[in-house]
Amino acid sequence: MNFLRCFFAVFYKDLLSELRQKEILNTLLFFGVLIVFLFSFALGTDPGLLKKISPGLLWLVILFSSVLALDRSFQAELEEGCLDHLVLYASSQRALFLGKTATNFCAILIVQVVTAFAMMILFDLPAPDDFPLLAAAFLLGDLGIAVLGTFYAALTIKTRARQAMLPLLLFPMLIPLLLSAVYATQTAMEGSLTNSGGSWLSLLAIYDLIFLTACTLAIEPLLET
Amino acid sequence: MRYITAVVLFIFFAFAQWWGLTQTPPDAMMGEVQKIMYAHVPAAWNSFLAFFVVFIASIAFLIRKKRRPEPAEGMFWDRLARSAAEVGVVLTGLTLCLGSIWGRPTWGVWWTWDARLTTTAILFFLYVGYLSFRKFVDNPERRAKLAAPLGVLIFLNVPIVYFSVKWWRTLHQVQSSPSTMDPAMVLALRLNAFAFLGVLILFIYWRYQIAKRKSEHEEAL
Repeated sequence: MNFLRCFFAVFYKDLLSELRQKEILNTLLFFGVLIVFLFSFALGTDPGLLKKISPGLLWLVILFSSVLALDRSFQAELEEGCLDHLVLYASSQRALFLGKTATNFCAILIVQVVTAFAMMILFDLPAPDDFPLLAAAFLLGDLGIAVLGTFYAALTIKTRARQAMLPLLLFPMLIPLLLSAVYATQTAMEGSLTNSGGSWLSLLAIYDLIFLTACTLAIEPLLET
Repeated sequence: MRYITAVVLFIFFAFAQWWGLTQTPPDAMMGEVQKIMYAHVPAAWNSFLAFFVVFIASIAFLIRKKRRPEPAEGMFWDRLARSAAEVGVVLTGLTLCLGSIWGRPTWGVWWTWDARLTTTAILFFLYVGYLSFRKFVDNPERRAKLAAPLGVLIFLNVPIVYFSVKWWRTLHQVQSSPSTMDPAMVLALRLNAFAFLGVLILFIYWRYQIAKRKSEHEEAL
């Protein structure tokens, strides 16, 4: 019971401070749409090409912009010098970690949806073929990024060169997620003869499950004061 | 004593390489270029072994720390994980380079997006990340505490990376098994595998000693 209360307290606190400040979310949304815009300059405006590579581009945008959010996730507490207090107050460090993860998940999901819309408008993409598959790919993919990202943010928080370390460590870990999320999204957008979207989705679910468990078990030594 | 071990090992290593190069028949299809296998395959096997040592040492560190949280506890496992990761990265780099040299005449390309190849490259990145992360934490105790979960997590990712890339595409030839190979090749390959294993153990031991001396030096200051 205590665990759940702690989880919701951290989740609520972070969400509230984010909704009041709107610091991260505004930056991220702007950043996401801006990159989509930049892609058109870098790659030309050929609709066929853009349509073909849009699932990959979408997930790359999410990867890069989520690093910005993840990097900030322990930053507010650290700057005010209350991270150690938070860790001490929290009845469980795992609940604290999961609460942070939930907040990051919400932020990444919002950015993902908005970026996807921006992409559909700017690249003139047709409506997705398989909407539930697309939604599932978004949810599972963002969950995986949030879990591992929050873990690595906790890992790098007190190291030197934090901002360079986070993507360097995080991106190679996310390669399986990137692969399966991109192919699931592609199947959802265009439909597929082999219907491979389901198997990519199950790989995504297994990935999430393994790392949600492993990160929750392994988080304690990272947050110890 | 240390030098004797190193010299004996060097002689054995040279002998195993010489055996692989001269005492085995060239491959029926690939010819002499196939001889690179006697360095490429043992290096690959032993690099996986080294990463497995990192995984085990990281878990052992975490368990030890849980039982006895004193600062000085478990540093043996931390140094072992670090040394094994260093040697593993070197061997992985060697595997990739040799494979690339072999792939050019055989497959016609330096690099291809095949499952095992790509997985090895990702492994290389992951462990280079692990090592550079260690460089950026100054406090040795804190470094040990942070690196151990990282060592576990990275290793968990390996099978997932492998399967996802395998689904993505596959070209690497099926592994030869002893039954499909010339007995002379099998012997040479085994010989070299043990020679590389010796190198692996020796290197890990040396890096461990250096790490230990370094931390003793830091404490003395």
